[in-house]
Amino acid sequence: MISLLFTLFTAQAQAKLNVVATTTDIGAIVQAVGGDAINLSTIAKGSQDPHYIEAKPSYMIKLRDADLLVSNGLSLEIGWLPSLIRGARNPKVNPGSRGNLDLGSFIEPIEKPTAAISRAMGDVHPDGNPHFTLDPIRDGDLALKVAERLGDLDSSNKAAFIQRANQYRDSLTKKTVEWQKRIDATGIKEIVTYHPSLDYFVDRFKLKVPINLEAKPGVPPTTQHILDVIEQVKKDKIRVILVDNFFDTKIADRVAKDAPGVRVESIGNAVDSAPGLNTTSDVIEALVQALEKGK
Amino acid sequence: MKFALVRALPTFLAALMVPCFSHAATNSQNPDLSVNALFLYKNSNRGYDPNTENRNGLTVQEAEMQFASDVDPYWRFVGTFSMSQTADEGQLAQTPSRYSPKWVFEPEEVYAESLDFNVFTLKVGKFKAAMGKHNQLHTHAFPFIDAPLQNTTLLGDEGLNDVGASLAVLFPLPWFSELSVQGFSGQSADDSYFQSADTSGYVGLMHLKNLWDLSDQLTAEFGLSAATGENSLASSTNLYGADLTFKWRQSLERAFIWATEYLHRDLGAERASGIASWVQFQPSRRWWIEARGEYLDSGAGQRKQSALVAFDASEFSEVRVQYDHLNDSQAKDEHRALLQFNYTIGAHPAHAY
Repeated sequence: MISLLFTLFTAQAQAKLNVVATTTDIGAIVQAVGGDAINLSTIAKGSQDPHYIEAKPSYMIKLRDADLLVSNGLSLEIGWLPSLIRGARNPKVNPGSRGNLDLGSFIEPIEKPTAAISRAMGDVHPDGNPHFTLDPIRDGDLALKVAERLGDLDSSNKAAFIQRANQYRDSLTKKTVEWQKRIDATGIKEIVTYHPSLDYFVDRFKLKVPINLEAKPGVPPTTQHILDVIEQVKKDKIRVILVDNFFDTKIADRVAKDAPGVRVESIGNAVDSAPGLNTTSDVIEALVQALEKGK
Repeated sequence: MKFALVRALPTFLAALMVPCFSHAATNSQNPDLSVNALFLYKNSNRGYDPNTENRNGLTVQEAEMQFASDVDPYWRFVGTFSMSQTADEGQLAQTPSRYSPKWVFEPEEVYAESLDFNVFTLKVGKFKAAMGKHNQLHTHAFPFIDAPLQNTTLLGDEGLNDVGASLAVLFPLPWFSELSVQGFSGQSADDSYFQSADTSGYVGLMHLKNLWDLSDQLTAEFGLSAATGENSLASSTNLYGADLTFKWRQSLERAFIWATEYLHRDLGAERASGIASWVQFQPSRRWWIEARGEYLDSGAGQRKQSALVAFDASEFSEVRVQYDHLNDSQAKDEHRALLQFNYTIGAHPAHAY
């Protein structure tokens, strides 16, 4: 019985590459490149905060059967991915193996701490901000890295992978120009966000976030901090607060009550985090529309 | 293996920690280092005897240091050392009227485990045996401040934790199903129920763990354990265990866990068994409310009820308050209040499911 199951698993692996992505955003890049030549599954759902995923043994089963694990990296999955990899007992996806692709290692991260950091600053990522998938330009570049690795593992589809990655990158590059024009047209220069999860989007589209609703990353706001946010919003005449939809909008609503010029938008910050957000383009399009709403 | 902590040790460890901390979460080849401390305040209507370590007041329940790192592509090494206070029996014998705690520093777990052994994980060293689910937890990860009665009574204060080897296989099934086969020396000071006069005696153990996703939010875990080995009475000690856990998590801010664990110990002439069942409810991001009921049958029956409230300021600190009521057939039931402060610094902790 066991040997039969082994054979079945092996046969399936030879037919199509089994790829596991840690988040839906990473999964969207991998799917765009892999097309129908791969079987893709993801661990964190779009509606979940990827910092705090529980290391469920059922995820170990996904990794046990994987030919390739594609992760976000930059410490985003540090609380759960190492124990999933160990529990999976699949040497193919161990760090350093060909079946382990850490996309964060290929990008130049923003907000990399230059001075010593301490946990008193909150949940600061020592390797820089890991939420890079909201930058369409970096996503396009990473698609090529995914194509290279998929091509290494399945050389018969290498040309198709590279072609799809190039198409994906070109499409995002063109759209980025359009998105920039639309954001410029809103006249919005500054926004408030809950957590530094939108900073790559903000950075790419030349926006600024003078203050977050969280007092420190991962630390819920204090009353004094909320008062500081209200003051900042009034002072800078900020028009939009974007709140990732896995956070409550209560605190943002409280700010809006005292600073009537600002509106609160609950937004999906990842693929599959809300209905209709099936690709990275959809997510960024929705963010741009959220800015345009009050035009 | 216990030995009193020498004065130089804290200085040595502090010196060791400095270079590690600055690199703990970066791409360094230093091991991940973390330190956890549990401070415990206790007030019990029975804790009036100043000569025991169970007296009322504030104590360091445990301070634990963990070093962990991949050794090479094939092995990972984990060393966990704990410091705790215990009564100095030598001093007590000389001046029985005065309690003077002694610091004890000991390796809690020191083992290497394989990283590249196909569907197997081979583990060798000193580690917590897979005898049920709770026995494998470190003190700071206990769902309540104390371990269930059955664990401390049937498996010893430190649980079944010995030098040995373990081979675990993950079955190629659609759900998580893992069988661990473990062998131990049977010479650990704490598991005296296994200590045989014959030093060639050993303990054999099997543990089967299954976990199913009943929905995206709900999982069910079922485990069976059995262990056997010689004891000092020249007969066999047999242990049996079963555990069942349902875990529901709706979001980061709402979860519910119901866990039940059963243990049975058979020393030939003497049999004992216990069951503990508890619920843990997370009503908001930082709060947990918990309740536990226990029954232990080891001669006289013991019944215990506990209630707990926990506040997690972050992933790295927690304050818990617990109330226990123990009916153990003594003249007066025990009523006890516990307050625990739990801190972790260093490398990001791994969150076991």
